Parts: sequence; structure tokens; C-alpha cells
Amino acid sequence: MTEQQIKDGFDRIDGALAPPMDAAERVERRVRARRRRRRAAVGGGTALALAAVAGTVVALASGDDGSDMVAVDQPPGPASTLVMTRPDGSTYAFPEVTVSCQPPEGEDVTGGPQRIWATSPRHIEGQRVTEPFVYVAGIVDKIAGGRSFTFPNDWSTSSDKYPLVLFVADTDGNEAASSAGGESGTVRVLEASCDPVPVLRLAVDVTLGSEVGESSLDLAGRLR
Amino acid sequence: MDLRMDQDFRDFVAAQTRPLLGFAHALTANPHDAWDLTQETLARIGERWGRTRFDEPAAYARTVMVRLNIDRLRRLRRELPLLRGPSEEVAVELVGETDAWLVEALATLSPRQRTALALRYVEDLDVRTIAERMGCSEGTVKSQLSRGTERLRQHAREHGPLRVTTGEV
Repeated sequence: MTEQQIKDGFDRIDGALAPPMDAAERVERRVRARRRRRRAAVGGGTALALAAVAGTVVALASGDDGSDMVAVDQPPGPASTLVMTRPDGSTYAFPEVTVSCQPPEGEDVTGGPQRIWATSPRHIEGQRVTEPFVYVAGIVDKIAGGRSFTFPNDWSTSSDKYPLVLFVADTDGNEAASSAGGESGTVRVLEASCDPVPVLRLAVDVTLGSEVGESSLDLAGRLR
Repeated sequence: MDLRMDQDFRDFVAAQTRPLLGFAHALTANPHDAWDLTQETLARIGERWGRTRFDEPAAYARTVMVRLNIDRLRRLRRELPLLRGPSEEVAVELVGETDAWLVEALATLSPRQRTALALRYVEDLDVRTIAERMGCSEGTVKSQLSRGTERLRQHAREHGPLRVTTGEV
């Protein structure tokens, strides 16, 4: 089989499909949907951050008069030394990271394995990210037990879910993830548990590949 | 920015949707995934249209598409619903013939192998430029091209135009 025969085959694949007549409208709808999700995520991130700052959780029991309301002290929140480094050498630290076993607001996760999230507050004005944010999500059973993950990783497991995802968004619109292509480095999971309280301790030293064709972003430090 | 008012972006979509869809078809070997990938690529550019200066938006769109595909987009979007687009029915129309054996063969390749082959045979790019688009080394590209091409030829020998029949009566 010659190069030209392969080329001809690709030419036929290239020309085989026609987009729908309303392609532009469909694209616009998708852009609007993405923007709505981002706005929803900002609200969720802010609420989580406020809860972390307060340091307490108010638990409501079943009493009709509200007398069973109790205030429970939470254990100290995680300490983060995670730092994002851009190609020009500038950095951004994420000292405020919340760990939770409940999905961030706006994230529709029902059923499936227990997951754990570590997220920094998301600040967005209009359509623009005004402060970088970091997002880590993992499947507890697949990352617990002192495991290390080296990237790039083909995740040759029986599950079609990524055990661990790292993602950062920068203020210039760049978005980089641990499975976007061009990623490298290692994440050591020192501890991951949802019982009795959410705990996620990580040692991170990775380069995340840009999802939007821009520069890769480094993420390093610890969550403990 | 109100996209409905941005004629520049509409013009870009009108001019680029068809060629991007063809490229996506080669990247994914699946009409549904190709259309999904095309929409997602255009949506990501549309989000930034007017806020970012694109020197070569068509080339940029292909780089975004390549990265999204390597990313095995659908799986990541399940993990990051923040970035997930709505599911839609297949909206594209089949208007030309394809070589079934080639489509089948592409489906057996890894996303990176398909990407390297699509950039080589659809976009006519050299190894260096393919490496830039894929965000990897030239050596990796050569390896992906070599393995991918050999896989295509093997599939052609077993299931396609190069299949040898035994001439049984």
C-alpha cells in the first residue's frame, strides 16, 4: 500500500461529512452553555470557600423547634503550598484549598465510586477568570494507599474514569489539565480518605498541558 | 461579547466548520465524535473571540482540536462537568463515501496515532510541525506515524484492499 493510497483514503474521510445547516446556532448554544456553567461554578466555589473560612459546620437534626441545632468544630483545613508557574516564570500560589467529598456546586456527579475534590475559590467576572484556580478530583479507592501517578498516563485500568485529574485555569484564558497532551511529572498521593472527614494530602510536581493550544503550566507543591 | 452580534465569529464558523469537521472525522473515525469535537473546538474559540487576538485562527483551531482529541475529550468532560457541552444527536450528514477498512483501522489506533496520521495525511504537515501541534517531541511523532501506518497496512492486508484470498472452490 503506497503513501498515495493512504492519502487518498484520508481525503475521502475528510470530505465525507457535511455539518448541519444550523451549525453556527449550535456552536453559539454551546458557548452560552459553557458560560452558564462557569458562572454556576463561581457561585459554588465561593460558597465552599466561605464555609472553609468559617471553620465550623452547623448540623441540623430532626427537631421541629430547631433546638437540636449543634455547632461542630471542623478539624483544621488543609494547608496548601501549591504554586502554578507560567512559562515566563511568574507564579501564583494557591494557599486556600478546600477538600471535600461532596461534588462542587454545579457538578452533576451521581452514583459511581466515592470521589474527593480539592479546589481553590473561583473568582470570575463576566466571562473572565479574575484569579487563577486549581481543581483536583480523584476516585478515592483508586488513589488511596500512598500511590504515585506519573504523567503522561494512559490509565490502563478497567475503568473508563480517570483516577486523578488536575486542572488549572489562568486569568489569560489558558486552561491546562493532567490529560490534555503535553503533560509530565508526578503526583504522590500521601493520603486520601472520606471517612471520617475528607482528607487529601498530595505532593505535586507536574507540568499540565494546555487544553486551548497555549503554553503548558507547571504546578508544584504540597497539599497536607 | 454577544456572539449573536459578532459577525466576525459567525464568518469564521461558516468558513471553518466544514474543514474542521473533516479533520475531526480523521482524528476520531466517528461522525458523532467528529461533530462533537468540532463544536467544542469552535465553542472554546468563540468564548475567547474578541478578548484574544488570534494571528491565525484557523491554525489555532486545529491546534485546539488536536489537544482536545488527544485529551480523549469525552472522558475528561465526564470528570470536569464544568467544561462539558450538552449532548446532542448526530447532526452531521454523510455526503461522501469512505473506505470502510480505513475507518475500521483508524478506530483501532490510539488517539495519538490517529492524530499524527491525520496531521500528516489531511493537513500535509511535516514531522516538526506535527510535534508542535501535538506538544511532543519529533521522535514521538515519528514513532506514532510509523506504528500507525504499519497498523493501517496490516489492517488493509487482513480486511481491506490488500487482502489475499485463498481461491477456495
